[in-house]
Amino acid sequence: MAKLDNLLTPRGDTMCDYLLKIQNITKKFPGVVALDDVSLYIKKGEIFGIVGENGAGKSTLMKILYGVYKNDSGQIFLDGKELKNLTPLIAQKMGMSIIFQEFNLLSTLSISENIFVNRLSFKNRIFVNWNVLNKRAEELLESIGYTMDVKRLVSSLSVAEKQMVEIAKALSFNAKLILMDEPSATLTNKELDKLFKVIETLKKQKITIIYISHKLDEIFQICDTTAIFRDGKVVDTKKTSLFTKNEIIQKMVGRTVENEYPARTKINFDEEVLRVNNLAIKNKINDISFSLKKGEILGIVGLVGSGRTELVRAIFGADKKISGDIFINGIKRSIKSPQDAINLKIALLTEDRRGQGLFINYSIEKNISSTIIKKISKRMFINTKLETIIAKKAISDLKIKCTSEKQTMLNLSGGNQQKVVLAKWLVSEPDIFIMDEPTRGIDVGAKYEIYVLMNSLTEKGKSIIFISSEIQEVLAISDRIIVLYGGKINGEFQREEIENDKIMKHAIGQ
Amino acid sequence: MKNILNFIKSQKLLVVFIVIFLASSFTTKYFFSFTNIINLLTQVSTYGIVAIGMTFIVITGEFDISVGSVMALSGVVVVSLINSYGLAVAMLALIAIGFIVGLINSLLVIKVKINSFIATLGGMIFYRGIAFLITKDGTPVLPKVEYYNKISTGTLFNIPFLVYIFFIIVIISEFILKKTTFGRNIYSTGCNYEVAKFAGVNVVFYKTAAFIICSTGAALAGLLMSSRLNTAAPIAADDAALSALSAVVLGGTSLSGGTGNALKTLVGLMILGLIVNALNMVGISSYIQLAIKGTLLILFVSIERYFQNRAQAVSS
Amino acid sequence: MNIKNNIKLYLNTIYRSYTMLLALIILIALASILSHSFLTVQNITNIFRQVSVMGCVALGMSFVIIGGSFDMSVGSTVSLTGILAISLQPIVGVFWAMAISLIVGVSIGLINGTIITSINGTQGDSFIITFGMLTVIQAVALIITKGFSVPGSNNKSYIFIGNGDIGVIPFSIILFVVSAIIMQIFITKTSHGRNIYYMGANSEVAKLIGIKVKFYKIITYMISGAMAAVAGFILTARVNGAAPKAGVNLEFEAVTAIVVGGIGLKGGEGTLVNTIIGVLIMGVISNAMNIIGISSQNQLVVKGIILIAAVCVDIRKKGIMGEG
Repeated sequence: MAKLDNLLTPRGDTMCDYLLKIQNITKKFPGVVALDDVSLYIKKGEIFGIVGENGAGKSTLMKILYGVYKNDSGQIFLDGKELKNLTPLIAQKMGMSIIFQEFNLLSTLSISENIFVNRLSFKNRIFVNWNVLNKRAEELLESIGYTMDVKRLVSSLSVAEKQMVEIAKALSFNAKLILMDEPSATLTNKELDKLFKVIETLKKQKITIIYISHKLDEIFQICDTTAIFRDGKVVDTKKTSLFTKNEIIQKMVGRTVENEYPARTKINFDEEVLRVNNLAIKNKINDISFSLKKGEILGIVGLVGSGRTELVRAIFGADKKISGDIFINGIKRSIKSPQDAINLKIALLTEDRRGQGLFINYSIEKNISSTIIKKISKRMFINTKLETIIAKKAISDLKIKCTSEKQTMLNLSGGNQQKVVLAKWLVSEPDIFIMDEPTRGIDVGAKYEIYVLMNSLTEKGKSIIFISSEIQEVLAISDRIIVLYGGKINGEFQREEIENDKIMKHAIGQ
Repeated sequence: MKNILNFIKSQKLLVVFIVIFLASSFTTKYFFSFTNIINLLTQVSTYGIVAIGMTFIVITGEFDISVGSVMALSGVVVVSLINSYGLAVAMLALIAIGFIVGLINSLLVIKVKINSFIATLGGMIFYRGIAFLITKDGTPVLPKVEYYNKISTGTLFNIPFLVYIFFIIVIISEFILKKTTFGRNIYSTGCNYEVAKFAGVNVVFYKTAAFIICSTGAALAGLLMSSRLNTAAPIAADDAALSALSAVVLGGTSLSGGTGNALKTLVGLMILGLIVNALNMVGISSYIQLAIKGTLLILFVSIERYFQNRAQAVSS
Repeated sequence: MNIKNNIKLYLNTIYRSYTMLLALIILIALASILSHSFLTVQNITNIFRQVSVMGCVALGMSFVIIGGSFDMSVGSTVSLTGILAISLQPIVGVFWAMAISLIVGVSIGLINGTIITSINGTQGDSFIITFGMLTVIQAVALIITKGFSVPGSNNKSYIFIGNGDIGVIPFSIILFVVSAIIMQIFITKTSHGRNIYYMGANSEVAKLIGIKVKFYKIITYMISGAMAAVAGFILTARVNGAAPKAGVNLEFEAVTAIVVGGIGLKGGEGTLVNTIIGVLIMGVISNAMNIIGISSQNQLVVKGIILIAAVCVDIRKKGIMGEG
């Protein structure tokens, strides 16, 4: 066995340097190979970055390490011991903790209880000694530089604070290895700096960190070694300093960056189709005003929590607003519900596709016709023939891959599901599209098709409000960008003055 | 106005309690008499035990509406057995009923993943059916041993045993929920089943335990009720689930699980008891009391949800 | 590939909609082997007469369940509307007595729906709220009658609803079947019906495509209340008298029939054909037990088991279909 280990070790070091060895892991799901012969070797005390697009296999690997999924083949070694029949608890007891994006916290319980969940008793196993419990929890948090009232309920904490509770929880197991799944996704810049400091502290304590992210700046800032995932395979692993940014991007997407986005040509927009004046939402949005022109793609950039989703939901009438006027084609309109918005030819593609965009158990046809069910009915009765014709046409127009229009949404890929969402709005023929994260969680090819579609919509005189977390994407296909920070507009840029860094600065409130 | 609303929100129970207490003392001068207070406590105790059991199950995020039928079944079984085999066998049967019913409920909810309302609705019908089956078409069973009646009605310092039993159960439950790992794990299970499971909490065990505690509580309440009334009828206690749920919700335990405790339920019970007591004193029929209980359940679930929705709208 | 998948999809649909029909046929065959008196014209009409009350309740409740909620209050609504229909007749006449009862039934639905929509209630909330409502309405029925039964009506046309025949077919079953057909057409063929399905499948999505979910939710409860009132008429006309607890457990029997028929409790699926099959299955089972001589209270044991078993099957079926 030892011999084999040496053979498989790619960097020529002796095997005992490695804390975690992942060897030839394969995991298949019906129809997909999620992980294909993946091997990773992670040294003690290093910060190991993993990058890859959505669906590259990162989260599947995490779930295998956490014992949620079982690998079909391959082995995992922690400190030389093979980990078999992993469960989350065994993984933690062995010294491996995972911090997911969706925190594994119990919101109605206190911080200290969350840190020591299921290990509340220090003497016998029956009674809880609250004093000792709270004291230890405080000590753990202090060791990473945080002072908190550990009796507070987790439901009252901010995202960053919850993250610290998770880290403290990991430390309470004497973790040797902490995996962080996109920890920066919902943090402000300040909070991110603080997280990096905590990570440095952990590194000094000889704790190994696996840092998963798709923000390359962060990877370059803190990771010693980086592995790139694509389509379930590890494409490359080496010292981070030996990579260039472009190289990583190319290896992540598997092709050159230039043709990632279709070209946008049109530059002059005159006719105003939507104007928002002094919009405010309680605790979320403060006095926002902007306009949207005919044929324009208006990008909205902002971190999660900047109020972008709330803003568009309020415009669409899905959430209540305190004040503000909305003008459509120059006429002041009152939008109090999604019905009002739809009547004014506005469409909203929500960011949560499964929960808010689709009837997941229904057929493609029933999803597409859902927005126009009244229009295709005569005296209440649905014209089912027309329903099928419309669905078939949409399927061929958008090149939705499916067996028939009667297939349920459940079996479609993310990209095709998103196309159905687009189709259901397209058939209702709106003039203004609000697209909240339309490319989230779908593959590169489908993304490109969606960009092309957006272009062709604007050529037909439709207007689009486009929200995305991927700044690159917004920069590439928007005609104009507004940047939100803390519920306010913190900058507006025309196409020609768009620059990545400048926009990022505004997005983080500088 | 806003301040008043916030005060009511945070102290809604206290407000309700004070209003009812004042209203009660105005209706009759006998309100503060020892007899009346003991009366009140005695009335509260039987369903109180059910409500405490229900608290455990609501904390885990589930319901059990079969408790009334379990009470009836346990009363009928215990009285029948005590007549022919004595107390020990009857007690064993009682524990067996609580255990088996809890086990069946938890099996359906946890393993088969049936909504607990539906699962226990089926159980509710089923157990009452068995009670009818045992009594041969619904004739009540009468205890033939004299001491049986004393289990509930015997007194110490002029307070019935029933009241002692109830308060002992409240204290033990509160202690278990606050101070033991068992209790805290029940909260974890109810707060977020998946998270607790991944943290290594044996969620299946704790949810099962909560179901068993709930149905055993109901079985015990069945014994105490039949002892107090000195008869066991298969139609008895058909409003037990409603009363218990009302008390739990009234006490401020959230139906979404993860919060609440036995003391809160006690407060809820006392408020319900005060209302019933006051209504009895002014001579309002038990039918109207039923209507009021139902209305209160609706009202308090609605209020809880209303504030929850508002809190979510502000925070998320 | 395409055709193969289509066939598979089709077979699945057939499997899902016809398993319970098959169960019904087997059940009828079994019952007629076990008892010679089962497959007689008289007994069959008897079954239909018996199921028409619960059947009407189940039809109404199906709307609520397809719409993603739950209605526990129907049993006591049947009691209350029955009492009103009977006891108001001497005062305002048959027509107005029935009209008022119907309005009361619909209003109960309106109240249920309004409370549940105004708190943005989940399905779990709808259980609890209508469970509370069940008690309140039961109490009202008891208060009105002071706990006693109300003697029946002298009006022949009223009694006809429960006991009359048109040709050989009982009028009550015609009422049931006609309601079922109208309701089935409404929910499967019209845009309003489709919107109820959308709401049941995912009310958040439905809201965001402009469907008035609150309106439709209230409508489903009002339909459920109205059908409970119709059931109240049939029941009180058949036994010619009203009792404050006449409708006890009807909500349970209706849910059982609905689930047995194959409508999932999650909402957004199944049609009234499922409900009718479920109602008939339950009718045949009750009838068979009556013939064997099991008292209606002892039948509860069997029915409780059937509900649980049917829910288990429903959940398993979905597990096989790969739905979460």
